Amino acid sequence: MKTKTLAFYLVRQLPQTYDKQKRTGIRRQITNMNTGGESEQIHHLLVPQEIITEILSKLPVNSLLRFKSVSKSWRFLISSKHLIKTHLEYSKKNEYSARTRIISTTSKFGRSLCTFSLRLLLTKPVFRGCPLDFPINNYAGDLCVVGSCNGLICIVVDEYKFWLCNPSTREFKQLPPVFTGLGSITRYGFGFDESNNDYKVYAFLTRVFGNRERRAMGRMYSLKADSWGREQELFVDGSPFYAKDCQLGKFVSGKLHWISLKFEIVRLDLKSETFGLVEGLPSCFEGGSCPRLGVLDGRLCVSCSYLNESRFDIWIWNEYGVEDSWTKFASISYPLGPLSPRSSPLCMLPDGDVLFNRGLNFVIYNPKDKRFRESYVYNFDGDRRVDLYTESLVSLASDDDGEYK
Amino acid sequence: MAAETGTPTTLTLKSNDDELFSVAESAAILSVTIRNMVEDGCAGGVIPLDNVDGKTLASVITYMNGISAIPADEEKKKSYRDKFLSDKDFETLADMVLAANYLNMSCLMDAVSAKIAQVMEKKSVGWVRRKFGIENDYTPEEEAAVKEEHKWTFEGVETDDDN
Repeated sequence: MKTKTLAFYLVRQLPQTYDKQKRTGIRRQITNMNTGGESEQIHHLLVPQEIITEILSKLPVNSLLRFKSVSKSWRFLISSKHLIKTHLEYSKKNEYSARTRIISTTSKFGRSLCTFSLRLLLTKPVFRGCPLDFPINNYAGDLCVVGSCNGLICIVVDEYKFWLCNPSTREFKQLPPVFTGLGSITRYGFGFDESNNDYKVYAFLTRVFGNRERRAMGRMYSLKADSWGREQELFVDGSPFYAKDCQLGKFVSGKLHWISLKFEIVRLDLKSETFGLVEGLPSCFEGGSCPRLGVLDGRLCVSCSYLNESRFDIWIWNEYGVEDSWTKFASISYPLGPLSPRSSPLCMLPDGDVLFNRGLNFVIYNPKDKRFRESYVYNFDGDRRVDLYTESLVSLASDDDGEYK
Repeated sequence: MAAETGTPTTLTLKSNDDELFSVAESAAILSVTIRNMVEDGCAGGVIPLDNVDGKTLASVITYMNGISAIPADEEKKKSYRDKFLSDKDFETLADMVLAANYLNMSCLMDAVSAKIAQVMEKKSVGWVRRKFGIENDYTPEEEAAVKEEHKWTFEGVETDDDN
């Protein structure tokens, strides 16, 4: 029986001019299977690693983890920073619906994490999410998704114990305790500091002092250091900063964003670890009420409601840092549709439709013809925070150089 | 070049098994390797492609002609690529990915490697080793340990029915 192998072709077809430096692939002898018992040796097989990388970067995470068993060099390649990065970029760009999953909690016997693929949501009107293999399952206390970034999820348990996990590789890590003493953790955020290649969690604390004075404090956790930084009092532009209730930081352009009690957008630069105000807010901050932040298509967005007119508008910041680049993306009238000002936009789908979450319902809104379509997840907790993540190989463990992959 | 005579320029490509193919220059320059030859004025006679066999080259030329006939419409190009690759087996795809790499055709390279990934997705570790000619260099203990680490990924894997 003639068995052709890709390796066989590679030997035959390697360009003569192929740069030797690029022949970084697998060097070994294999037995040509054409001849059955009589083994014919092919010497010093050179597999161009770019081709293998090209193919592997297009596979789902599940297959890649399985193919770590193929050989030591495949395991090495699949664990390499380069492949992890190329793979994530490809997944986000080309396989958005298939490789993006939605995560929230379910509470049949206590709270558990639960996920399902975006593709399922887009194709089925009613479905159930599947429980995630997380160390804390069927938990009697509270479990909440803080945020997601590059396939990693930050989870907070009982509002003060933080975890990071990669649900696709089933890697989990409990963070060191953040806080002891009087006070409470009130807001959080999770993001990626690209320049330091570090994942960071920010926690706001409200401290109560002896004279009942309350002060806003904050601490940042770095995954690289695996520790929380010094607790600092929060001042933005010289005045104490209090974030509005029930908010999780929105991560855009290397910065986390919250809305303050004074209806400003406050940003935290994860690189410099400094706070600042976003200048040049969209006009809906003037006329509208209850501004809520979101992220659409990698851009910061704000939804504001106009209660008298029973509508809410969504504005998008098209060019981060450019003051007058906010544009009105949609104006949604809610008495007639399934959405309300409290529905949070989750993501923009590849065709330009917007996915909203409203309790157990997911609503897909077409901004062009203003139509809605709904999907229902019957085992989700309707009142809980929902987030999206792209399946990735990003690891919580650092390599020898202390770099995250 | 073509503009001077008003008729499309045709190039002659020669495979490594000495088959000759005529192809319109406008289609052939999808290959950066060929485009560079044309720009350097080395495309006058027969262009030898030492790393592509006749069967694969015929297929690549079908693709070149097909895709260059489609105007700038990414949707249509994508559906052409999907259709073009839909009935190709692993061996043909392997030939094509290497040809695309040699000819430096990024759009074909992307499409074929995506198709190979799609074929591989649910395959077993043994299938991958055979098709890619990879020797298992793990000791049985090491292999068992690596498998154990990701054992849930071995659910729903296709049984190796084919060669």
